[in-house]
Amino acid sequence: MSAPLLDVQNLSVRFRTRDGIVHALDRVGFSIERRESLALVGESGSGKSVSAFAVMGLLGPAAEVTASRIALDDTDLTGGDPAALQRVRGARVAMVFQNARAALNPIRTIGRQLMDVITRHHGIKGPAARNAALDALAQVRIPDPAGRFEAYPFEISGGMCQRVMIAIALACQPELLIADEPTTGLDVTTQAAIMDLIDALADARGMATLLITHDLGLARDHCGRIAVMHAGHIVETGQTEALFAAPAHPYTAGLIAATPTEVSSLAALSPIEGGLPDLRQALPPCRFSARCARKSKVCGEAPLPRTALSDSHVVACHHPAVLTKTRALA
Amino acid sequence: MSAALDISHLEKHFPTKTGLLHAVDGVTLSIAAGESVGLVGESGCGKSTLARVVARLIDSTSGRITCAGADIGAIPARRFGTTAHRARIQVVFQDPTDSLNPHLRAQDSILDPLKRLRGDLSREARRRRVREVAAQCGLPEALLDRYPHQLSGGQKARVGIARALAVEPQILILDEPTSALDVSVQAVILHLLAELRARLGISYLFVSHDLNVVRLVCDRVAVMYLGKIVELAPTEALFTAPQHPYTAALLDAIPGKARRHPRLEGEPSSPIAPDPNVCRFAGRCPRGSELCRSAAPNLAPHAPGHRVACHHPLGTSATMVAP
Repeated sequence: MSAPLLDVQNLSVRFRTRDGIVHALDRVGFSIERRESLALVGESGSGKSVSAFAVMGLLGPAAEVTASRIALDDTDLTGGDPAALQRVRGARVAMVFQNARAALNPIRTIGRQLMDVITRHHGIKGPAARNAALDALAQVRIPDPAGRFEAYPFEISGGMCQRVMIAIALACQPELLIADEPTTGLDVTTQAAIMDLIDALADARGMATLLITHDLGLARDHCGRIAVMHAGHIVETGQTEALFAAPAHPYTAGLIAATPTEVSSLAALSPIEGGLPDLRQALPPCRFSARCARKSKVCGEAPLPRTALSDSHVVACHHPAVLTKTRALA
Repeated sequence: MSAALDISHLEKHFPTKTGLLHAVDGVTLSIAAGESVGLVGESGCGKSTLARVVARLIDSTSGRITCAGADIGAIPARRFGTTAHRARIQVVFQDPTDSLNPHLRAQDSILDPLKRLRGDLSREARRRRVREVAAQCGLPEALLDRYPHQLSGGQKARVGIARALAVEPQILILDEPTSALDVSVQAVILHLLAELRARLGISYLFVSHDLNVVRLVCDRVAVMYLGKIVELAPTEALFTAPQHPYTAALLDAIPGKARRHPRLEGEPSSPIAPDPNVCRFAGRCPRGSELCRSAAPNLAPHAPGHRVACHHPLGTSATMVAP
């Protein structure tokens, strides 16, 4: 097997704050193959966005990032070398952010913002850049691209803003698109259209995607593989169908049971007890143990094991639900 | 069942530079005692405006709102808060952080409506009521001394619900009560709301853009599109056999569900001075015809308890075929 497109190993992030050190990420590892779509799923504060920002070198000076390996194809990004990241960002890895209207520059027209990216990375200027920008707008199916070219972000709808941001992200034919909650705040019908668009463009260009979302249903629809995060740990990674059919980590099972799409009645909707632990405190090896029904003495003492249930299904738990699987399905 | 709330031909228009914006355009809806009615639609469809008019936070342009026999729509909104009717309809707002006064402890937030509306109670009786309603909402007494910033999202949501329930309302207007919460907390709050309704026998108008949540907690669902209710049906019927093409498209857009219908194209037409003789959904509708552009459909009975405003409803098959 060839090397993955993006390989991240033992990524840890700590933030220095006035109230102490926040251990936001603890030895997180994931990889994305070419053309693959991976979802990072978890509740707010679980470290999904921090993972992506750390890989892209977008965290501020308060963040202390360490990793044993971050590599895009054969480009090593482990040390966070600004020049290397600068060459990669936008050109080879592009990002789409939550709340597109706020992420776009409010005082430049959308066409101008597209041209900026094209000029920066392809070195084309003037009418050629303008034509490339119009092409990019047409590709994200914005009606009347020439008319919208001169529009400011406040003049178009939230869904259109997100399309513009996707156009900007894709203008340089990246190999990997990181979409950070790209549809939060949009209506379901708009969300569906935006996600279909991302799927179609990724497919047409052979681009890999990393979707960051709190919505399990969205991850299920659009990603082949899912990594579930809790309090700065990746607790379970697996093929989407395998993960939904037999969640091995109690947190994954809890998330599924708490998601309205996945249950048939209110009685079947079960909350997850407790909340995320305070990441400033000293934490047990398993950060879920305080909320877990299956916890035992070993969870607070022994280092968290990583068990491979199949080639692609890995769980970080002392008591994964492997043996009880058949009973749960019956 | 007697109606706890009756809304008839309600309209709310806002003047804009380019004409009248028809935010709510002739809505008729009745909520029975103890019933939970969901109100769903995309942003800008007027569901929040409808909720605010019904909650008597803003005045309607025309139409009637009757609550327990009293015509509460006729009372100006700025005076409504001082009448005894205010205690009958209470609101739980969307963002539990933004809707709590940061300077008030949890108990003072819950006490506030009692002070304003239950002057007949003694200080001690009001304090007792605060503890009672907090316990009903699952708030431990130890948390009542805390300020909002010392509470978690779920706890703040409970304070917001306790505050609304303090004056023993008959109707609760819930405006996206869980949209700011994580799924694990959302599940807790949904269970709490269902339990409170069963125990207290109150009615809910549950405003949400999340169809999945509505499916779990509502008896009936009203789907709104550009100021009008386009479909009103028992929850089960709406989800298994939607009649309006818009409802079908909304259901299909829910992530994690198999897709049966084509995606909606385009964006809603303008709510400013809409043509009264054109269906609001025409132009975006996969089943639209000449008729839809010359006569707006009325909300007409389709089956018992099921009404739909469409010239070309989907029928029993629920599979959409281009006409």
